[in-house]
Amino acid sequence: MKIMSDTVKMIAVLTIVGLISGGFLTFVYEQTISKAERKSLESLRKAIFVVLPEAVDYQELKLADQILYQGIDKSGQKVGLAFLVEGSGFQGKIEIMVGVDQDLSRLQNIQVLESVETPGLGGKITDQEFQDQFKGIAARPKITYVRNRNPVTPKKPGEIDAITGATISSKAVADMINKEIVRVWEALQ
Amino acid sequence: MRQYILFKDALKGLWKENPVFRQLLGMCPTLAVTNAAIFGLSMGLATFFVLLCSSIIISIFRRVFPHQVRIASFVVIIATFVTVVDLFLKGNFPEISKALGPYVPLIVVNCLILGRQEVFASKNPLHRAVADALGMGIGFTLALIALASIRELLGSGTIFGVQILTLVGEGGRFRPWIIMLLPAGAFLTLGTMIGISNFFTGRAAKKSACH
Amino acid sequence: MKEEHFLVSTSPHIRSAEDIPKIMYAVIIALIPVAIASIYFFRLWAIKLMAVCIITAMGTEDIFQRLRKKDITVFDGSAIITGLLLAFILPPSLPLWAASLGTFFAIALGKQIFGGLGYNIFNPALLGRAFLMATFPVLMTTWTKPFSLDVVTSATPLAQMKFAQSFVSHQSLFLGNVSGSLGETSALAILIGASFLLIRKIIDWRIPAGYLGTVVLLSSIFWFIDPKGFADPLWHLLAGGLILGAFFMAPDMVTTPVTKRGRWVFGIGCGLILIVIRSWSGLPEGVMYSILLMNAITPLINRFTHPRIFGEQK
Repeated sequence: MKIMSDTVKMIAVLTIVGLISGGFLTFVYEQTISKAERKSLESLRKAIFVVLPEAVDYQELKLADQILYQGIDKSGQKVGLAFLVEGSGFQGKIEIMVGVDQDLSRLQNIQVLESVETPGLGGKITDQEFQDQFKGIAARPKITYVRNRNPVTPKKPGEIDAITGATISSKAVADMINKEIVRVWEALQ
Repeated sequence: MRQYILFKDALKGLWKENPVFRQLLGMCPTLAVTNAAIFGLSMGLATFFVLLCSSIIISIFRRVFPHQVRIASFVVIIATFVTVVDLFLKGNFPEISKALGPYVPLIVVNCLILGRQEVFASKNPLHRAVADALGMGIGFTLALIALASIRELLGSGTIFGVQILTLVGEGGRFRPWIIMLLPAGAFLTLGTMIGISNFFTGRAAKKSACH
Repeated sequence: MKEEHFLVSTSPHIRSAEDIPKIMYAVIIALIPVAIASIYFFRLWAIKLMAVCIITAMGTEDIFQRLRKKDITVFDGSAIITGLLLAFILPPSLPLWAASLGTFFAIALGKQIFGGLGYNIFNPALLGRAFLMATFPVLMTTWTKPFSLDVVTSATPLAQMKFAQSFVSHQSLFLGNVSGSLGETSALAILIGASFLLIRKIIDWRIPAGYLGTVVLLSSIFWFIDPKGFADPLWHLLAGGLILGAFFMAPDMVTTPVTKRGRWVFGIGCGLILIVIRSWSGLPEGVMYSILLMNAITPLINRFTHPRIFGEQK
């Protein structure tokens, strides 16, 4: 009888602890999650307008396995496409919002949303200076990078300077944008 | 006398039984997120909050938990508060939440918290459990801030984002030590700090043994 | 009776005339040709860098031994070697304060913290370089052309191969007329010093033989399969810090296995890691990491190559 009551007590206590904490968490979750979602949606929205400078509004285009954001300007004209690019850099996932012309020929701008690259080295991909290099460069045939450019030689179309000491991160950014543009182009055909 | 005990309970966490430098507990967040002082502070406070809340609950209900399932109950209670902190950070400080990444949910398995419940809160009355949690929590937070400040200062020339050393590119003479921002820098700094603290406490112990 | 530690073993007993300073100073003599070559190619930079590294190494050793109240052995030559070797694997134009910091780290955290000479797990000079590499990656990959006193950044031969697929001639590599770390550029000078050590039997030939042999074998295979994508074996041998590492850092007595079989394993392991890093990783050179990684598993190698006691059952 003693064993019986011990077992019952154990089950009862664990159940109660579980129920109370579960109920409490449901309440907290309800309170906070909408806020968190709103924040992340907001940052996505902001990024779209950064990479498509002429756009004032956008529409979501759902393709087979990717989502495109169709930028629209004041007069309702299509001013370019934006999409998320994901890939792995030197340390982990990099996520970039990329804005391109309607015919995918030219990059309008990019914004790095997420990166865990080495601070001070690959982490510089989030610097404005690095991201600005992508403004208005030719996206086809592909984006290339150079190391230690001689300052005298001019940039070729579609070329960016790799970050000193962080070639791998720079290469990762260029490669994943190239790959995604090809994928989008194929999906649109 | 009662006050004296409370005082002692709270004070031991600051130095004599400091979770980081003396007990080497909770090394995972200590090493992982301390490359900027603000992250050290956030992680310290998050852990502090979880420790305090679960100590309170567990101390109040310490006679209720059957011996065989006490650890399971403690873990559920700790996990609840960790999830609260995690959601709170996600909702209000998305940047910090992103930077701390998986290390906030991982507070659940921080040995410091479960250890204090098992050793102290589940065996002592509420006021002493609170004093203990306060001491340990503050001790942990201060240790993380100290470690993170050293790493941030050497790694980026700033503390809490305030420029202390001017960088080479901005007219100064300081070149940031990148290694300090990497995991290796955490091991180096923590090891050096523990080494120095042992060097001095070892000396003090020897001295008192002589007399 | 006062207690003494007596070593008890069966006869015969041989007492070697070698002691630590004798061995160390022989290594220093062997390093002189490399030092001359580096002064010839990099002039004033070489002199300054070597001086700073040696002085910091000796100073750090002295401070730590005083703090720990141990015998001061600054002049046994081991600190000089660490300082000199570290200077040889740094870029010539590295600021002197950075070199000094790296040397401090090498001696303090690479050697003294483990208990001093004989107790360290890793080669201190390589550890110092690894620290500097992670701390100031940009400074550590800024190279200069030989004979020039201005900082003219130029890529090392290995970096040129990795990122631009172009190759420097074998002759330049052999003589050392290429950009690179202070003491690694001239294969000729290193070989002169190394042969002295091998003749005096101060280093065990098995480690360099295993190391270089593996590199030659593997790079020959890859070169044979794809001569355009991979460099030829001789080029692999001469480029970068391979020869310096194989003769002066890999065979370090403290951080390598004690058994003969273990030393073969050590050398071959270094060679494997090096070829993998040079051919497929993001880094142009891998001598440092190959030796450090093998240092780390040295206790394991010792354990598995432990000779059987006579009559012991398997």
